[in-house]
Amino acid sequence: MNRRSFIAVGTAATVLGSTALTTDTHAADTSASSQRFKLKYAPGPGMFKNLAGDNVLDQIKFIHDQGFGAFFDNGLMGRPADMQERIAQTLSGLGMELGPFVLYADFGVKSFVLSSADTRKMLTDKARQGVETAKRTGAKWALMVPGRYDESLEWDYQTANVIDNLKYCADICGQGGLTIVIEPLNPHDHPGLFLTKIPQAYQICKAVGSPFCKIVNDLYHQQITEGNLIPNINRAWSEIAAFHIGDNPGRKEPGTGEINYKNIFRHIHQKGYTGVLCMEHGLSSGGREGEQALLAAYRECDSF
Amino acid sequence: MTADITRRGFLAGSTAGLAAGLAGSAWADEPALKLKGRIRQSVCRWCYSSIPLDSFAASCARIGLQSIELVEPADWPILKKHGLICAMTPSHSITKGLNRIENHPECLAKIRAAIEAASAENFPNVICFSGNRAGLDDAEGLKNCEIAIKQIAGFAEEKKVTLCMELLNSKRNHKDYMCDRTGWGAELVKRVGSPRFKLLYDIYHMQVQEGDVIATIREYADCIGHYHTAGVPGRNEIDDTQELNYPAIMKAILDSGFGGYVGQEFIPRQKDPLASLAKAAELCDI
Repeated sequence: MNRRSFIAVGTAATVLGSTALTTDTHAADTSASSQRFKLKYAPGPGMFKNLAGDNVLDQIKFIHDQGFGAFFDNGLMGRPADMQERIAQTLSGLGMELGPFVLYADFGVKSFVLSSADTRKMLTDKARQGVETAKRTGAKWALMVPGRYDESLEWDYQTANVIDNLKYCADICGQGGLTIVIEPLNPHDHPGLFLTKIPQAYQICKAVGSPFCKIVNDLYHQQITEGNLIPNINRAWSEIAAFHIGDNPGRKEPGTGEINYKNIFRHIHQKGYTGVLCMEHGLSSGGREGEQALLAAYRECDSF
Repeated sequence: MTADITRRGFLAGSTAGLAAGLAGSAWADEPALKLKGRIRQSVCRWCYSSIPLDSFAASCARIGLQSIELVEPADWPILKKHGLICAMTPSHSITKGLNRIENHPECLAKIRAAIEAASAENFPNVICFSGNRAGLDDAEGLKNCEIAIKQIAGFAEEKKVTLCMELLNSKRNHKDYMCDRTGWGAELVKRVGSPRFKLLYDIYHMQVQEGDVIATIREYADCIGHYHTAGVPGRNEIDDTQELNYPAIMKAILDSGFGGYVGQEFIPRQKDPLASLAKAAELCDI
């Protein structure tokens, strides 16, 4: 390696976010057949409202034109049935994947950690509703957050109860071809929740032992909670079915914080991952320029 | 990763060395880099132990580094010849540290001698370690560290040298090491209450152990006296082969008002270790 080449590499990395972004920006919203991204990064509703308009179906067409292969909609279950169907039809017409929707994520109550008939009925009823949404939309993944921990119950009993409750839910979801993805969240933004770590989620999925209970690894949350992102991706690989993206601090697009997403995406790609990576983060700046910068940031991170 | 090279081994006097030597360095013939130097950079000697110190120091000076650290005082004349300082003076061992009363006489004697030596050259820092838990409770260890450091802090103040306790991961590289979380270290800094006792925040170790690097740097900026680097995973180059965005982290360090040194402490994996070092220096030169 000579000095000229390593300076070039170093400079490119240092100014990532200025020169590299500006170059891509011009092409961003003009091309109708942009190059496909190597991984299925999934924008959410409203992320491109300035460039694509307020209509979610127009937004899906726009992100397809920009080269994205997936879309995610946390609030899918709460939409009217006909809207769910139109979103699904638009996606399938474009050959796009639908990322996990939120099936159950109540941060305010103890749920999965309890061994109670009422709680189990509530959770399994939810699972059945999730299957209905999946039937309408062809969704393959549904997100569940196991809720708060119980200070009055030994931790290991709580773990056992979470495993039991997930088995019931996974049975119901599995019959509808729907995979539950459980999400660890960071304890700074969400104090009091049971599930925070990837090794913990891995242990639970292994114990549930169902192909319909897996992990969504939110890299923003995990960077806050435990760091060590790539080693945890590797160790929990068999149980990871989806990713969420966001840089830290700030939970904005890649390149705005301490995570080297380009290399993490390369690593995930090299492992043969074909699933969805939901862009569950804000934009570092507003308006059309902010959305163009968002596109450019993903182009940069995908150029591995 | 060069798995058989560890810092522990180096400090213990291991003779193991890196395969790549200076002879293979294309970088050595290139003209000096011009760094902005807003971040004052240093490098840990042990990561380049196969390169003779004199030629290593010449290369470091040309890269624009200001220091080679964890170098024994006996070798400091070589550093000074090349206009370099030793930004972190070694003292006692990693595993047998200040968290046990019975280690205090030996550790404090070594720390005192290191402070003397550093002060005589106007070098800024001396390193120290908590030691391993070996069954000891963290609260007890904290108390014992406080007892030890309070005995030496006055001397450090008088000599204008900062004693830094290093944060290391206890998951992978230093199993059972006690000072493995920033919060624990910051509590110790608070209890000691001397401007001459701070933490050495090792970015690699803390990414392995706890993550949330920038927020932690911002929160504990007042407690941090020195930084170390390396890529995660692997402890190799800090470029785009690993999971941290080092320029963003350096910017956060600068924005925190930090005026100390950042020591490169990665094990070069590329063919030319000096080219790797020069590239890292540029990446951190924001």
